Amino acid sequence: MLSLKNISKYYQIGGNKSFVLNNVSLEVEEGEFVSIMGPSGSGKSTLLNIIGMLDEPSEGYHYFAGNAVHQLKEKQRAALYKQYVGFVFQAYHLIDELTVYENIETPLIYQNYSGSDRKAIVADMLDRFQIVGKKDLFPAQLSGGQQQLVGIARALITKPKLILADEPTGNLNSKQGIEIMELFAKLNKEDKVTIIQVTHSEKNAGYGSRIINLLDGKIDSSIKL
Amino acid sequence: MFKINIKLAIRNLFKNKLYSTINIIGLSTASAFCILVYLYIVNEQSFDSFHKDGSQLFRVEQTDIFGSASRLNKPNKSFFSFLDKDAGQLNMIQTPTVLALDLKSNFPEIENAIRITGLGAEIIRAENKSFKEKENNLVYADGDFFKVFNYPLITGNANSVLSGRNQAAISERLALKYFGTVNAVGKTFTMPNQTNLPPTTVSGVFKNFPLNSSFQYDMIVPFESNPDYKDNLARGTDSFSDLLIVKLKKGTDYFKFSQKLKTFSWKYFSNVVKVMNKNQPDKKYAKMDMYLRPFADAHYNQSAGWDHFTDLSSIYQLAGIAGIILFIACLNYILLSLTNTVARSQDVGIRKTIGSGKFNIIFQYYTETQLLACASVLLGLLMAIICLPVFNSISNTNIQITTFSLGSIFIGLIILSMVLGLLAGIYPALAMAGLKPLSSMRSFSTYRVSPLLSKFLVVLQFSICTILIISTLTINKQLLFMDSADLGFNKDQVLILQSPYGWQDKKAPKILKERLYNYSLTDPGIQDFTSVSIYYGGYNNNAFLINNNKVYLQALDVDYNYFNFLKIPIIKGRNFSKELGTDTIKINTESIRTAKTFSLASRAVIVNETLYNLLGKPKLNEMNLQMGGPIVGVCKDYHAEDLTKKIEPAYHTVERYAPFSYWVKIKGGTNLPAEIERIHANWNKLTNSAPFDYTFLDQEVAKNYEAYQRWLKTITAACFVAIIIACLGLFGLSGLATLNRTKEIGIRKVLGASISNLFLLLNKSTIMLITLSFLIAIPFSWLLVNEWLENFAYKIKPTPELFIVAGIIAVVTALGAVSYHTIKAAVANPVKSLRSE
Repeated sequence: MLSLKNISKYYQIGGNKSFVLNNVSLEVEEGEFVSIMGPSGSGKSTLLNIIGMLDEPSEGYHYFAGNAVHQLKEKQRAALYKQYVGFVFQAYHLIDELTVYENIETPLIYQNYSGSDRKAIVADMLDRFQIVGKKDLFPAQLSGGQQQLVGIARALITKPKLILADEPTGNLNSKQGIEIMELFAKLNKEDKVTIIQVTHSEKNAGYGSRIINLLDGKIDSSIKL
Repeated sequence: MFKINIKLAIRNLFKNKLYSTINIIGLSTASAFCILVYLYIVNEQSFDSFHKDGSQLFRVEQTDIFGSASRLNKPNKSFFSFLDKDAGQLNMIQTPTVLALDLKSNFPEIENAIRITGLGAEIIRAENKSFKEKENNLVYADGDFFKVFNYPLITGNANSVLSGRNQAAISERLALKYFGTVNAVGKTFTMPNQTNLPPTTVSGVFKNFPLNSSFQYDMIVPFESNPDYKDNLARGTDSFSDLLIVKLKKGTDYFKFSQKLKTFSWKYFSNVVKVMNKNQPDKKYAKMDMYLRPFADAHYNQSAGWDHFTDLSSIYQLAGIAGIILFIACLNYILLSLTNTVARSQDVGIRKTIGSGKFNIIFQYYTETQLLACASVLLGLLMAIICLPVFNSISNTNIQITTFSLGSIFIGLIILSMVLGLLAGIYPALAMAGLKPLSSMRSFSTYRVSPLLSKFLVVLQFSICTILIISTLTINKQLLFMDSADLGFNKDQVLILQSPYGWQDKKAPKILKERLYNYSLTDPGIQDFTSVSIYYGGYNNNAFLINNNKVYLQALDVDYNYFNFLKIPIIKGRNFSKELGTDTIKINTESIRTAKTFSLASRAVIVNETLYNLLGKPKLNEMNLQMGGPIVGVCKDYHAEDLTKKIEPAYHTVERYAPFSYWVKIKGGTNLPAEIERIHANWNKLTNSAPFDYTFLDQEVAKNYEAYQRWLKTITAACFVAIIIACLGLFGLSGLATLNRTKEIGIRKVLGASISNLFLLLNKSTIMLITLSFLIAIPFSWLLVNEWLENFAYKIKPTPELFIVAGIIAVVTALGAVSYHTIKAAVANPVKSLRSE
């Protein structure tokens, strides 16, 4: 699905390079459920952003679904990203001014789906996540767990092959966290969606098929479960 | 406390450099505009107010039963016309010569009376050179002129300077020009047109009249020296020729005296009214009133014959525009500070929790605004001083900052900064103080203060801007229209040379004409030549009865070549013919003498279409009793006056009077300066070096629109300032708005929004607001524009394109203002804005 070769990300501070990622190489196969762990500041989120093509590495080679990302232009990268990737955030990042329905619909608008198509797809998704009754509410009217459900529904709406989740349960209580993780596991198993998540919790990491430990910008260990 | 507030205010201003800069630029530009308008108004108000006993001086006026004042000066229509009806109250300000004496002998209340009358066009020869001065600036005046008015003399005694015959007081300016020295007393000069006058001796030199004086005289000759003086006196109330300023004794009750004067004038002028009613059966007058207008206020009145007119309605308009610009600038400030509340709300919360009262917070924010306002006003003053020369040329004034007292400027500045501070500062301060401590301390990422209010303010600003844009475009279009309109004659490349001789001289102008004509045949640069006894736009204008309707006829006296020269087609009959030789003969038959109607021409005439139709299309070449001569031809209608006026019925006679100006058509492609030099050299030979006074016909035509040109420049400047200020505000506002939406933009980007998607999203609201203000502006500007166009008899129609173009300008400038921030936000990396807190 994707492979990173000798990826580094650093900032120039004075005359010194301050490495966030240092010579990281990583292969992820289709259908995997990878959990990235590590202490704060070890480069987990940066790695996730680079995989998601939101951020560019300073050095290294990046292949995604058969494309050499490091050679692509901005526009092509955006197209690739739109087609393959869905993002889930710790802070949900729903748009406050839009209703649940509209939040979920937004990515479809940017992919130029027609109005009637959008309606059908969003209705399916609301049904599947059992939040039909909440479709006209605003994010502020939902609990954290519900907001994250909407966030995941929104990430899935364009049928991405890869879901990138940055501490998806970080702001939730344990019961809500379990629900979300079980949802991820189900998506991975039944829909064959590749998932890469960043997490602090050993328990959540256990839902995946592989755990990668980062330390000071380097891969410390990679354990298949 | 106060010191801390100031310190905090300064720190805050420096902290938000961008917004402070925007605010200062906006407020100071508006201040500069206001200061200029203030200077203009103060300057206009100061006119004629510097005379020591100014409150005792009055101009004498009478009912204008001849209808001449109101015909010549059509009051300008404007939005503010209703505010100064007095300006349009057109009385006759010319009085009979004898009136001054009769008033003095009848009313002990009158301490003094000064008559002033013009000397006419005059060539002055001094030290073997000849000069021509502006006609209005050479006058006869009563001997006490320098006692009644405060015009300081450099040499000479105010009591005696205007006492002797063949003497004159001249201005410093003239003394230097003629004699090269201010000490010109005793030197002599001649004025050949003042028949029978021996050389005139300079009896005194006065300081140039101040710029804010309606009178700008350069030469004052004792009133009794006028060769027509005795004549005028003898004609009693049959002649109205002099300006009359009376000085009332101290303590005279103005109202009681005016009443007495009215009763007096009814009797005094009863004969004039009787004669008038006999001649004008359609309009009967019961009596003729006499009025006293305070001398210092006379310049606010538009009566014909007064040298300075302050158009109050244009002052109101200017003040209105200045107010609007100030308002827009304050709206900007309010808009920006309210939107910026996000950044400051925590500050308020903390202050409140540690015990600060509401008043303290209000005061602190107000201090900040007031400080900014003071800085802006000072900067504005600097800008105003820099722009003053430009402003002077636009407004056709000569304002010098040095003539204003420091005190009056200082007071003006303080008032201005207080107004700015209060207008801009109070509302944001109250809004800040009203924040609840807890809600303002909670960190909210998308908190916005009343978006509805800021939207309303933006709409208000841009409605005003759009109205100004539409006005500018309309005025511009109308002026272009007038500039390019077909006047019915060819005005290009026509050089007008003014006759150096007075109107009394019948021979010399004719001789000069022949000489110039012969010269024009030999000069290869000259295509054609004509001479007329009129000046462009100046003509005889006489009331005249046609089919028992009172009509004003323009009487133009021309020469044989006039119609060919100007390419005015004769559509019926024939042109004047030199060969026939009958066109100049005065007809004096019994039938004309006994005809009931006035016969004006008494000779062959060519009428224009309008008059021809009015006369009922009579047969040509037959004696026409209404015209008092045969109509030999009909010319196509053409504009003898500017386009603010309708084409009037007009008739032409040929070589009835001596020519007054000589018109020379220069061949196309000729080197103009060289050609003028050549004509000048020849002129000197032909006239013994008389003054060479020339203009161009197209310039003369354009002169009529000068006031409108100035108004166009003023409104364009105001428009620019308003738009710049409004755009600055929009720029700042969009910066804050996109800041508030940073997170949303990041999310949308992650969800796959392209840059163009985001650009559209962020600018959508701006476009909607500007469109709304455009819609609001349309009806208002429609009214304004149509009102203004009423000034013109020939005018453009305000077309939809005009409005659409204005709308596009508004949208494009607004988008330009917001785009910097929206593009910046749209291309920003979402990773940064979405980093988990």
